[in-house]
Amino acid sequence: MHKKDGQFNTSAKALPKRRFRFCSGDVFVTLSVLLFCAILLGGTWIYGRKNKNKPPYVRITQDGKVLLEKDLRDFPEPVEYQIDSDHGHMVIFISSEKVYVKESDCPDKICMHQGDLTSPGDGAVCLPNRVVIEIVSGDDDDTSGKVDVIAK
Amino acid sequence: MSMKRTAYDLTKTAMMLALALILSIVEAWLLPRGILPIPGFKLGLANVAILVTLYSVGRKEALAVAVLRSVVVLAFGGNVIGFLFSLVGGVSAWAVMSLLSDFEHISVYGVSIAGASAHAIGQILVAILVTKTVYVIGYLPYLVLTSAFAGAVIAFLTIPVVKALDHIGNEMIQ
Repeated sequence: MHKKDGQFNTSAKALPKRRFRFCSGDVFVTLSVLLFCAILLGGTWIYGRKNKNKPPYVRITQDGKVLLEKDLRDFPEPVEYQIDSDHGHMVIFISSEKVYVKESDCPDKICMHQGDLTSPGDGAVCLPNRVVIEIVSGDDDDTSGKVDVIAK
Repeated sequence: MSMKRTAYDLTKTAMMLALALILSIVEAWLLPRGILPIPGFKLGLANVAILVTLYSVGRKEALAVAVLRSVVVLAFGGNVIGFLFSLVGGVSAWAVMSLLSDFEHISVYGVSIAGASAHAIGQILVAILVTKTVYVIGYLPYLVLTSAFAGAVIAFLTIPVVKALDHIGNEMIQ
């Protein structure tokens, strides 16, 4: 019988050793995870700072294709941007002040819960509709995919 | 004797699969809607089941629990994106956990924390693939931190279960 260290080995295969107390390696694992997060957070922070004074643009992407990318100042009059696709129907409110998802026929409405998007870095994701709405900084290098179709 | 063992292994794996299914459903109730920014994202409570299987039955069986739980949830009316999330998340967690469990100085805590982080990263990769934008990566640090904390809690929950299963096994064999 395999009764080593109170370990009941059910078969011939080697099971992981039962280490139930926090060990030195765990400190290393935890620190690695924290470091990983810190690097990502630092990266986003630096990116946000660099683009602080640039004008906010709204960018709407569906299935990786940019549907709309426009300076928010181009919306003195609020616009309700409609997206209709095989995935579903969405209405996005866009004004010079804020952008938010007004309607979506997705089941969980998490995109709608995201509330107002006002400054670069803000965003809302709707996975069922494959739509990402983000506020980005203007004069972004990715201006090639600019499409301006405003369906009212 | 060996048949007794095989039967016991099979029973444990089946029990853990059932537990994984229940936890997948319970997690959706525990977290209020919209508290996590990505629909379908899970902190990985079901990792308890994968971890217990890994420690008390074996690697292959743990992978089976990770994969089958996603398949069964899909079969019982889950959606395809949710399926991809749990499949990729679960398999990433399994890969990292089964690798780290061999290391000499890493306990269940380290294994579980790393597994939960891998679970989060796997799901974000799916979200990037589904939306075809890298935008969602901005959520990654917050989701990894939350998942890692959940991972520590999961390790704490796993330990008594593994001990209890050992105890039952020892009694059975005597």
